[in-house]
Amino acid sequence: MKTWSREIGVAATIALLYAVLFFSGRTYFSAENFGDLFLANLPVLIVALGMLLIILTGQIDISVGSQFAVCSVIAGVAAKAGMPVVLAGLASCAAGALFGAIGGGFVAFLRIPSIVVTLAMMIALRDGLRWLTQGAWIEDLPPGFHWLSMTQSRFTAAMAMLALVLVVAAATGLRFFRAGRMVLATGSSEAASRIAGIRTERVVFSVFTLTGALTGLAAALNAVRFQQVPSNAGLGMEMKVIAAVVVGGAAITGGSGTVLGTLLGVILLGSVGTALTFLGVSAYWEQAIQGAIILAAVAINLAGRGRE
Amino acid sequence: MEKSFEGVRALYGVSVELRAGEVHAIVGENGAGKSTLIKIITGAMHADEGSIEVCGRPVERNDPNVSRALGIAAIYQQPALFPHLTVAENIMLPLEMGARRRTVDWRSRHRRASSLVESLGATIDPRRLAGTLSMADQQIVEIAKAVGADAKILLMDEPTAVLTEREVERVFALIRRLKADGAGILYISHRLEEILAIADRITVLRDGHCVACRNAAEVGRGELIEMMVGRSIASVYPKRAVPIGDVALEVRGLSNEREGLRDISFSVRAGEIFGLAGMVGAGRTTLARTLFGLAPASSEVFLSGHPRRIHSPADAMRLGIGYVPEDRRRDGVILEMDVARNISLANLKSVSRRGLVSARRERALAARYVEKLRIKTPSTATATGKLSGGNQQKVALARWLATGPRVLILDEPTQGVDVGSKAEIHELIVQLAERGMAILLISSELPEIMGMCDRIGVFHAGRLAGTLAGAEATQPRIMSLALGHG
Repeated sequence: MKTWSREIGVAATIALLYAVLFFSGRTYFSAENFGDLFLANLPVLIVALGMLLIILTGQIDISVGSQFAVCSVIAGVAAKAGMPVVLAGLASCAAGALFGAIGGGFVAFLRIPSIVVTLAMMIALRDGLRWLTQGAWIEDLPPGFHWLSMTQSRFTAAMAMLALVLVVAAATGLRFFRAGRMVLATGSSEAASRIAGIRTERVVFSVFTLTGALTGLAAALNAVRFQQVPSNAGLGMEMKVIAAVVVGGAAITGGSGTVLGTLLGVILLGSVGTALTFLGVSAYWEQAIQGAIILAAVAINLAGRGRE
Repeated sequence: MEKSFEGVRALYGVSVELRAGEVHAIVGENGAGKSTLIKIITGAMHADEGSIEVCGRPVERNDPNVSRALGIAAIYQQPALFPHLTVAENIMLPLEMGARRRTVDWRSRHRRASSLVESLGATIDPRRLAGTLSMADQQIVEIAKAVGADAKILLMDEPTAVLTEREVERVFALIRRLKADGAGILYISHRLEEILAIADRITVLRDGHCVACRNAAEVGRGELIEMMVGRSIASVYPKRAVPIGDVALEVRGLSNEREGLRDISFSVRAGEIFGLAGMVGAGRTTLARTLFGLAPASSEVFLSGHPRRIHSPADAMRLGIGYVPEDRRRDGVILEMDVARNISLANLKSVSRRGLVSARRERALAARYVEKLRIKTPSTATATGKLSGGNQQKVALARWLATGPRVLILDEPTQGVDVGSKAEIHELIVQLAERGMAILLISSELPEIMGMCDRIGVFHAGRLAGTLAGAEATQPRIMSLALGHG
C-alpha cells in the first residue's frame, strides 16, 4: 500500500516555513509577492513534471538547463522575426522536443548511460548557444510578446490555470493510464518489464522527448515575462529541478514517486530563497539551506525505504 | 594435513576428509549439497552441527577471514578477477588487505606475482590487464592468487566448466604440481571423465547425504552415476493421462551462436509437457530466452505449423508464447509493485480501455487468479515483495496465464518454493496441459522432470543430447546424457 508519509513530511515543512513567515510580519503574504514567486518558479515546476518521469524510469537528464537557454533564444528570435507569439512558443517546444529526442535516442537505443549523454548535451547546447549569440541578448522583442499581450495579473492567473492542468494531467497519467504504468514498471525493473513485453526503449525515449517539449514550453512562458531574452537563461536549472523531484520523495533509482511530491518539492525549494531574504537571513545561506533540505529529504527517504 | 567436517540441514551428517597432497573429488547432482559444503568450509555459511578441523586442530568460529588465515582458498567456476587491474594487482590484492604499509611497492609486487605465476609453470605477463587473458589463464591467475596467499587447502568448484580441453590439461598440470607441493585439493565437478583423471579419492553426495567415499582407481563411471542418482521417486507427482493434440511448437536446427546453442530440434504438442533436463549452463535457459525473443535466433520457430520469426517478447506474446523466467525476483515479478499490478503487467490492454487502466478490472483479474492459484496474500494491493517465494512464483505464473498462451515455457518453476506450494504448482501445470496448453518445463530436479513430463529432452553443452520418453526415461539414462556420455 502506498504511504503518503513523504509527501506529508514535505507539506509539513512548507507549513512550518510559512508559519514562521506569518509570525514575522504579514507583508510577505501579498498577492503581488505570491504572484512573483509563482511566475519565477513556474518553469521549474513544468520541467520538474517531465524530470519526474525521467527519474521514474531510472534515468536522469542534466541537460534541461541548457535546453531551456536554447529554447528561450529560439522563442525570442522567432518572435522578433515576426512570427505570431503562439507559433514562437510552439517553435520553442518543438526545439525542446528535438533535443530531448536526441538525448533519449542515445540513452534508449544505444544504451549509453543517461548521465553521460545528458552531460554531453548540456555542454554542447550551452557552448553552441554561446558561440552563436556571442553572449548577446535578444532585445527589442515585439510588444505582443510581453505577457502574451495580457496584463501581468491576467497572465499570472492564466498560468496558474495552466499549471493546474499540467499537474492534474501528469498525476492522472501516471496513476491511471497504461503509459504511466509502463513508466513505473520500467524504472522498478527493466528486466522484468522487458520480459513482460513492455518496450522499455520506447518508454525511455518518450519521457526524454516529452521533458524536452516541456522545457521548451517553460522557456517560452518564462521569456514573455521580460522585454529581452538573456542568452544565459536557465543556468543551474537542472539542479533545482532534480532537487525538487528528489525532495518530493521520488526514488533516484526509479520506480517510485508522485506528482504531488514533486509539486511540494518545487514549492518548498522555491519558497526558501525569498523567505530567507524576508527573514533577514543573508542570501548566501540560501544555497546552504537548500542543500541541507535536499540532504535531509534524501536521508528520510532512504530511512523510510529501509523500513519498508 | 587433515580436514574433516559434518553438517546438517542441506547437509545431513556429511563427513569429508582431505589429506595433504591429495585431490579429493566431490560429485553429486544439482542440489546435492556441494556448494553448501564449500560455503561452510570457507566460512560464508555456518554449519548447524559438526566441526571443522584443520591439521588436527578444531576451528572454533569460521568466517571468510578465519578460513583465509588457515590457508583455505576457493576457486569458482567463473574467474572473478578485476578485469581492469593487472594480473599482479589481482594476485597481490588479497595479501594487501590488512597490510600495515599505506603505500604500494610496485616492484616487489610484480616480482612476487611473476615468481608465483612461474612457480606454477605458466607464462603470463603480470603487467597484463586481467580482462585481456583467456579463461584458462584467468583461472590460473585465480589459482596463483590462492597459492600466493599461502593456501594449502584449495577448494575448486567447477573450475573447468568454462575451459576447453587443452586448457583443462594446463590447469590439471598445475593441480598435479600443487599436489606434489603438499596442498590438499577439494575438487567439485560434473565432468566425471575429468574427475576420474585427476582425483585420488571421490566422495559422492546425494540429497545432502554422503553416500560413498572411494578411491578413484577402484570405481568406474557407471558406478559413480548410479551412486549419484539411485533413489526412487519418493514424492508423488500428479501426472495424469492427457489427450495430446497437434504439434503446437516446433524447432528445427535452432542455433544461437553467440550463446553457444547449437542445432536444436524438437517439437511439443498441445497438452504435452516436454521437459528440458541437463546440467546448469547446458543451454536450457538460453533456449527459453531465444524462443521468447530475448536472444536472437538463427532460424524461424514453427507455431502450429506456421514459420515465425520472433524478435522480441512482444512478438512471442502475440504468437501465444508465455515465459515464466528462472530468476523470480529479478525477472519474474516486480517486488515493489502490488499483486494486482504484477498480474496485469503483461496484459495491460485487457484491463484498460483507450489507454486508461481500469483499477476495478485489474483487481477483478487479480482476484480471479488469487483464487485459482490459491495465492496466499493479505490482499491484491499487497506489495509482492512481502509474499513468500512460493506465492511470488504463483504471481509470476498468474501474470503469464492472464495472457492466455498456447505455449508456456516454465523455467525452474518450483525452485526455492516450499513443499506445499510446489505440489499446488505441479497440479496447476497438469491442469494447464489438460486444457490443451503445450508446456516446456525446464527443471534441474530429476524427480520433478520425470514425474511431470511426457517426454524429456536432455541438454549437454548447448546441444540436445537426446530425447527420452516413457520407459527409457530413467534417472541414470538422463544423467548419462546430461554428462555428455551417449
